[in-house]
Amino acid sequence: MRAPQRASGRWFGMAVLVGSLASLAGLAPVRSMEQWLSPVLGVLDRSITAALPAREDSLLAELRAPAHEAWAAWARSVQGDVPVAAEGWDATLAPVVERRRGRHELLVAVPPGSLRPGGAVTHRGVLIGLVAGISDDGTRATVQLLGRQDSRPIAAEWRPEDGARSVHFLLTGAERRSDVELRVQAASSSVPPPPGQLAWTRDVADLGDPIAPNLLIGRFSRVQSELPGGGVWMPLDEGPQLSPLLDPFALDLVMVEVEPAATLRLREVRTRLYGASASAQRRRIAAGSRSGVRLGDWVVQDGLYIGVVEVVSAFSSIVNMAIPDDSLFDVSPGGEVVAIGASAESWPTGWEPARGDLIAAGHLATGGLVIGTVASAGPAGLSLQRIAPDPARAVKVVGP
Amino acid sequence: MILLLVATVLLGQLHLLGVAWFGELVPDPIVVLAAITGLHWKRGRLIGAALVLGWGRSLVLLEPAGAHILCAALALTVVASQREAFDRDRGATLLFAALLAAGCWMGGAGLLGALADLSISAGPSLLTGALLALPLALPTRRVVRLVRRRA
Repeated sequence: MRAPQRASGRWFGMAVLVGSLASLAGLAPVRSMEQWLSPVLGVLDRSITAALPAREDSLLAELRAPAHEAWAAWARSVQGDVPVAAEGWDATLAPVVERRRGRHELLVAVPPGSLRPGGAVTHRGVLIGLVAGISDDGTRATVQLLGRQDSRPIAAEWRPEDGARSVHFLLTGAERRSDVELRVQAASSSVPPPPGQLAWTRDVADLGDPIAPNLLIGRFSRVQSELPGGGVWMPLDEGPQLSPLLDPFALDLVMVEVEPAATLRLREVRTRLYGASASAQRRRIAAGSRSGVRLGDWVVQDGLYIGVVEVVSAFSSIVNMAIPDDSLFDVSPGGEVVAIGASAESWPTGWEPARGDLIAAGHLATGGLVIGTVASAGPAGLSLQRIAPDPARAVKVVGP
Repeated sequence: MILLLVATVLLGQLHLLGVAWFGELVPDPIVVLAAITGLHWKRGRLIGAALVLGWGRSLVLLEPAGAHILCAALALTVVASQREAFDRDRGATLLFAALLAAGCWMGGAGLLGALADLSISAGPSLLTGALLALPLALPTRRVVRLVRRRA
């Protein structure tokens, strides 16, 4: 009897070891399976939550209004100064839900059944791509970003400063190695654009292309200096090159063309935090996939950003409280707002967040959210003084 | 096993409550549980006990269960390997075993954390937790004797 028992013990030990390594490696199904026992936590959690020290709320109340204003200003800025929708169409803000760098595409959550293939997708008046496909349920749009070789040509122009006639050209794409680039073709003049010249979409509605005019598409690259011996860096037959004005993979929010009055419906789940299941970086919420929580959803509480859902199981989910990498706002005590990322490379040259500045973020479902105040900032990035969430109050899980 | 899981989770939650009020040095009783298990649990069932201890702790701390299961397995194996060296009827034995378990848990967490680039909670509260072995030594001995007699 002993030998089979020992063998089964070894198999059990091996299974525990393999499962542990898979958990350490962060395999999503294993991490989700680990949470199956989370209902055990419920036995004592409410009593412990009630016994936790009370949270000081005055700082959050003070910071909520500036965060809301910063987000509202940002949302207006994303909408742009020029009409971004074709005639007869409307434009609405839509969140980016997936970034596919390899295919140079974005996946955007949209109002169901309200889009047309080929519709413009913009950010702060800059054309970043066109709708290439719509999911079967109509709630997700695939945006093909400018610069792909198979993207359709877009009628564009650049305008000389001296009031001369604008130079028309077609914007196409080219894929070089793993990178993509914007190409200028069939220019109406051989006059080279001055370095740094901006280019816009052109009104060609009469020719059947409904794309809105005056959308920014890029900036002409600076002329390469001649190399010693008279050579030039760029082959002459390639013509001037356009550089994109934005990194589309750093965007969380874009404008999409939709049918008039179409509205985006966002998911909202109300739940609570576990008071006695937490760490410095993570919190547990008492709602899981059965309640509609999905990976990547934001968790907020009374205008406070708590974090992003990183593990979902049937009955509970784990929220990572790390600050988002992009789409943050630094709001100084004087009210100046700067859109930044968490890393120092994303900050304007010669500027860095000051100690005590409010760092905020925003979501279409909630508006502006307080993340914390700057404790220190330097080449290593941002360090924040966070406001702790209150387990005694309800939280909201929002997602597209 | 179920009792061990419930004890691990409840004690972990109470430890978090203590940390919220009094700070990081509040004793973490997991090492005493590990010491009792390592000293008195059947050897063939130690892997199961490590699974339960590690899983329960990870549920409370929201960290990958694999990390804590491996730390618990290391602590239990080392404590169990010293059973013959310990006089299990002496009061100080539980303290030594708990300190050994705390050292193993902290060392394992440090190593795994460095290998997997993770932050695994195993701070000084494990060492202060070992001190709980002093008041718990006598009741533990009595319970173990009672269980042995019934078995």
